[in-house]
Amino acid sequence: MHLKKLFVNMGFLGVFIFGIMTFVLVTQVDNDVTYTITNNTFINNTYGSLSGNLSISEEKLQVATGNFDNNTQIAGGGELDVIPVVSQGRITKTIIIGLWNIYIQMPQVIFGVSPIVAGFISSVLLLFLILGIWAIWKGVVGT
Amino acid sequence: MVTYPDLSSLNNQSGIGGLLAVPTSGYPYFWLWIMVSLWAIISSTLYFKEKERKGFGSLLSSLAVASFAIIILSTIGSILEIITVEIMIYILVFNFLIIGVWFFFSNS
Repeated sequence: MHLKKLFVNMGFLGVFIFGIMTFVLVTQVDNDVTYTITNNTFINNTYGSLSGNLSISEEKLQVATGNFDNNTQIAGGGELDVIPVVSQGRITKTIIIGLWNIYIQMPQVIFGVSPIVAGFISSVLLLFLILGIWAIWKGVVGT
Repeated sequence: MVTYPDLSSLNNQSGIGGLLAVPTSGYPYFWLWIMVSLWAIISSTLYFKEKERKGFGSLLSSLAVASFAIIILSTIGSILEIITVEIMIYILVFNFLIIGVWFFFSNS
């Protein structure tokens, strides 16, 4: 999968899940339901983590934009200048991995998916992310 | 701790919610199976209708759309207190999985 598509999909999926959870919670609270979904510790943690991850993403990307603007271009002979995209690459990886960890935690806890299976899928994702970001740094592929 | 209602809890004030909650006293997963059946019916109806209309259908989209419908129905069920928190968690996580797969693997 293309890195840009993966990044956009992970972001939108996080927002979607957060939106659905908020819809369910707000509807339950407005109708005075005795046991809301946040009574469950796992859902409460996931909801909190999602909210934190999505709000921190914006702050981090603001910082990355600042780094990109402030970076001084150095034209070295025979060198490939990758400094302006390093910061963005790292944040892209952090956001994707952060949201993925929250997403994979749900079936792992509720349906009892083996941690080995989840770990394997996470490792493959991490590997492809590193390779993708490395390829962008080196100018092999675009975003 | 969730207490499941039984026939003794039925009175004039319990209303339609109390009546609908009666089957859960004998079998807590009663409404979960109803929701699973509804999910299967909605998704297959959407898929085969699309196939009939276009000649081809997207099964993943149909499953995801049915998941949204089931989440809304379950929320209504939780307001009527026929869907317990435990069942709601199962429904949410299962539907999140379907929606996630649809997000990542739909061609559009």
